[in-house]
Amino acid sequence: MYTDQEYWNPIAETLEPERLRRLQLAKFRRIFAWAYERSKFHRRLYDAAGVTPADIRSFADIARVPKVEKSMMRDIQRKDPFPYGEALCVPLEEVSEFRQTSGTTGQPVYQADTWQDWEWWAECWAYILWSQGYRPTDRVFIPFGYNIFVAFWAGHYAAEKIGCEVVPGGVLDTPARILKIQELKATAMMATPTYVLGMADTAVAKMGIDPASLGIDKITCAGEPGANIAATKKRMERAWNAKVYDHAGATETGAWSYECRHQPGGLHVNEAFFLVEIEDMESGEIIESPGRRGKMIITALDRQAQPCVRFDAKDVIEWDADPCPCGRTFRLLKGGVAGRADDITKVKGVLLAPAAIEEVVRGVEGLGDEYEVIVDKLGDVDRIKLKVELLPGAENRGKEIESRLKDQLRVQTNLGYRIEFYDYGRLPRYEVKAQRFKDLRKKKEG
Amino acid sequence: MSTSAAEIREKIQAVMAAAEDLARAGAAIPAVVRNTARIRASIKMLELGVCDIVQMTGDGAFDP
Repeated sequence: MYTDQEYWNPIAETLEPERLRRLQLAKFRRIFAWAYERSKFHRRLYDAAGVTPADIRSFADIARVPKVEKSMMRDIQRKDPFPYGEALCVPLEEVSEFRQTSGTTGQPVYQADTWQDWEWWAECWAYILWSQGYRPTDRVFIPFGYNIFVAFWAGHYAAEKIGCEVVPGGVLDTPARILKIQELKATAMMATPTYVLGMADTAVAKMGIDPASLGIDKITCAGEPGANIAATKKRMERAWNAKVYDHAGATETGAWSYECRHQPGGLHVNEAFFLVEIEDMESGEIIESPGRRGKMIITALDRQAQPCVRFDAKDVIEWDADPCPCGRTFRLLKGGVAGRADDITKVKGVLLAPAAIEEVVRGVEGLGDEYEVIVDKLGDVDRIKLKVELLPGAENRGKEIESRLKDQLRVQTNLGYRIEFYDYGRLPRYEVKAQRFKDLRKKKEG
Repeated sequence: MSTSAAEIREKIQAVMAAAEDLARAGAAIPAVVRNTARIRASIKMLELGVCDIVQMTGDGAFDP
């Protein structure tokens, strides 16, 4: 039975590493030439750097290809052909899908896809879902407000492709979604970590329903960190009595990575469809060896309408030295995406990744899932305030929890915090991407 | 029964050629044109996942 097969496509997923590298090089040459020949934006960029398709013979040559920054995509859009601008590589009438980025870092970027690109999105997601155990017998509930953000759209199409029964939980509110999961006996779900925890909270606190009793046995997370943060993953798995899997992707890049059902503590890069390079953030050198963090430069090797060639995604990642027990030859990223280069900030001269704070907060018993971090300045001195909620029943343990929290934060982040406790339910709740880290110093600096 | 990746590749190419023939034959019929466009996009995923690998990396000796 094909459903017993571990891999969605064993031909690709077990390809020997040396052949994978050959495949990537050949595919890079193809997509580079495609973009060079069809996109005025790319042609201008590459001509200015003196790189043409004929120059790409090795990975060292690829490293010479100029990177594309998100700001460049913003600059060219809304021009002809409207609204995508000069990176569009197909006639406008071949575009069948419009999506845009969420705009968390500025003006949203518009993304065009042809129907073939949309098949490609679903195909990439099929690798993800199959590796996490989705099969035609699954009934998949998608509690996502289907809209202009790509988010779980491709997950929906991939689940259909795999043969699952898909329930689009679009305009329902949270209680209605929970009741629909219960009524239909859904077996799987896709959501942001924030919403996975938020749904569980609503089920327990407002409906008296234990989410662990609903029968969901696997949850695919995307859109923000969480499923790669051990303490958050544990909370989600315990709340739902389900396996929680991580995935990282983006509107501009596609769905490039997945955590398989073996939960190896990291993400596989789909190296048959993507080239992921890790660049040292100071020297710009490409990092090949495990154990050194850098930022991701990514190429979607087969996306055509609006190509993604050496896109500076700003995700901070590192290669894992260990292979995954699943047998895939696609390399692993240790711990998934560690953060975004934009988010890692210096506080009191110490590099701080917000994910490290979440790891601590979600690991302390007696604290709720929500928290908020506020960094500001008093005179010339940076300060960090951490707002947390005490769970019902833990109200009298504030001193003990504060002491444990401060100790662990000191160990994990090398920084001291002012802790503010709030009653359970007082901090903001989010449905999609949470905004829990607020750096007020940047506002003051303009 | 097992089939090599190289054999699967040949069958994919044959299906793609048939889809292209169909599109040409029904070029005046919107239902044929648009449905075959979707069919070809699906077959393209097999080209990316199988044919490219055989063609770009070697002899296609994989035995599923």
